[in-house]
Amino acid sequence: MTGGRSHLVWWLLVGATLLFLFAPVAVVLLFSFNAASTTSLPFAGFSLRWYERAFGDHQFVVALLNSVKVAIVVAIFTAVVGTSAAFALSRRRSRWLDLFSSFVTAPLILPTLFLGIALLSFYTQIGLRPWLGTAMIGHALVTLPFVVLIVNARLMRLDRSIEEAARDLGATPFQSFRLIVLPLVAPALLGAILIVVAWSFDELVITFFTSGGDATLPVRIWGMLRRGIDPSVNAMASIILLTTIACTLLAGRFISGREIAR
Amino acid sequence: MGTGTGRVTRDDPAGEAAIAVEGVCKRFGTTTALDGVSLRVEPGTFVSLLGPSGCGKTTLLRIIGGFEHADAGSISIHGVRVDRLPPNRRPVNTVFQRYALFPHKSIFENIAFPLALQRVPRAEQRARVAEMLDLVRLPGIEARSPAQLSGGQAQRVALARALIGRPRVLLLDEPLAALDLKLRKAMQLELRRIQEELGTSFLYVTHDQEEALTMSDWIVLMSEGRIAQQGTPAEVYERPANVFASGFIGEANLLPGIVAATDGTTARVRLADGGAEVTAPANGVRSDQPVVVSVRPERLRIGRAGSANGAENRIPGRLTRRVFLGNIRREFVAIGPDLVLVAQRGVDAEPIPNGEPVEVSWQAANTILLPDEGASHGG
Ligand SMILES: Nc1ncnc2c1ncn2[C@@H]1O[C@H](COP(=O)(O)OP(=O)(O)OP(=O)(O)O)[C@@H](O)[C@H]1O
Ligand SMILES: [Mg+2]
Repeated sequence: MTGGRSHLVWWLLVGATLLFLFAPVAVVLLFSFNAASTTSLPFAGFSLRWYERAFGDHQFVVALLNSVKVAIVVAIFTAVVGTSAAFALSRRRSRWLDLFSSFVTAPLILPTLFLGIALLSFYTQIGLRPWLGTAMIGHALVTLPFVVLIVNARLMRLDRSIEEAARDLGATPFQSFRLIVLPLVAPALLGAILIVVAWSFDELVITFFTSGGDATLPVRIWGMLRRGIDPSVNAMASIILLTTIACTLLAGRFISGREIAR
Repeated sequence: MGTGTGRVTRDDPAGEAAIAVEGVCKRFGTTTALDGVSLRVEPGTFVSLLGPSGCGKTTLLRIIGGFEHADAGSISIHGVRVDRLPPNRRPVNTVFQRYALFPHKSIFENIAFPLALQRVPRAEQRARVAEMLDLVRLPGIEARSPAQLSGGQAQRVALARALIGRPRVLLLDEPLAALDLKLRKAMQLELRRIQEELGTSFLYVTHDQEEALTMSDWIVLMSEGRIAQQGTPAEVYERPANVFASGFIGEANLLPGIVAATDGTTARVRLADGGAEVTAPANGVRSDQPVVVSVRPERLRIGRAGSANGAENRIPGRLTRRVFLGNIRREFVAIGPDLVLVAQRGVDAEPIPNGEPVEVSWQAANTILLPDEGASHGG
């Protein structure tokens, strides 16, 4: 029947797409556990030697720690600043704030290559030496809009009278924020922060331009690849992959499950 | 007015209002929400703020609660000017229309919220929450979450939460509007019982005139940002001060006409439609003044033409329609080309077939003459 045939074609298409999307991912993951010292078939047995080798490499460990530092600092900064900005945006309507909101979302649509170059030349102009801190600024610049937009969307759907009730019952503005508003936006905020961490952890372009000599994990991998492929690169890439997937899945639970349902 | 007694008045100097609103004005851009509103809520009374949608009731309540600032005028609560105080420092609490319970807190935490802010000991919190839940007749639901409550229960919890801090004045913004009719009637009685039990002054916003009539000691009727009339329920019902009050509170036949003659105590009015003449207490009208004659449906008698009953006003008409309302019957009588009177009769009254010529009659004393504010522009 034609119905059965088109069904089959459809499944083939889906299968092929999935294969092309995920085969490279699977290959990297698989070879990160391969005992052989080449990244080619046949698979020579399960082994953790490439992970041992990676963690034995001092530069890798430094890069991993740098990545973690950047992710933590950027997460804390965007959480505090992003939540404050979102709160200000949702509470007061003014032309000044509307202008601010279009500015705050601008980095979302700018190409990272452009941002990387622009930031680097800006730092050079004002005499700031690129190091891990300047890379953090770059990351915060791009990820702040995520946090502002997600938290703002949550705040907009929060019934204003809930906050007014808190004030009415004796809460100061700060108490009403801390005891009522913050717990209600916390899931959305946590989701946003996880997306920020996922993004920051595998960001290459902006970091490459703005981190100076302080390599993060993606920058370190990029450097190693230029010198030829060593299977321990697969192990490093897999670490990034798993971190990003874990953060994104968790974020999805917080944002779609609890956030959209309410 | 009402019963200014109870614990609320104890430490008040005589004559001090629970709420005194003086000349409050508020504009939002080009709309004037409040235009010089003044009113007093006497301690321990139940005052209704009544008016159609958009007349400024919520705005006035929000100004008293501290969520909005008046452009002009002042608010005093028990003799203290509160205009510059934030909501958390005003001695009033509010029950919001949509309950506004904290969704992430249990019922206990919701009700105990004001006590927790004041660091009241946990044991006392528990005792007072239990006391409040008894008051609103929902004992034992402390552990539930707001999502597990019905609308009526949520409203009672919101009430308990607003009352636990023992405010001297409670503001309520259409707290029953979201409930079905039966539950609303039950909650009306509950609210009144709680108000009397605690002696708290209630300022209650509603657009339901029946609710205002049944619950209040005092009614403040608003229209387009101004106070149209205030008084006891009986006063505003029986002596409406203007056409708006007459039409909004209860039902009324409103018949435009011109004063044909007046001797200062009674006046004769020629109806604009149909030309019939009506006698009524003069109520300060002048000759040739355009007026509106107001008669309540329950004051009208309907009988066959010529039947004598001692009523001064008699107008011939034709019965056009009859609506059965259970305990009463509503009958429509055409007395002019475009003029239909609504009358109310008991179900036992002698039935008259549709289209039959009848006579509508009523006593002059039950007729109210009101100045016709729209006449100068209306034509
Ligand atoms: N924040 C606001 N911004 C602009 N206009 C407002 C605002 N709040 C109220 N208004 C306007 O002020 C007027 C009075 O509004 P208000 O909410 O006080 O009416 P209300 O009597 O409570 O009506 P309802 O019975 O429908 O609740 C309306 O015309 C309304 O559109
Ligand atoms: Mg309102």
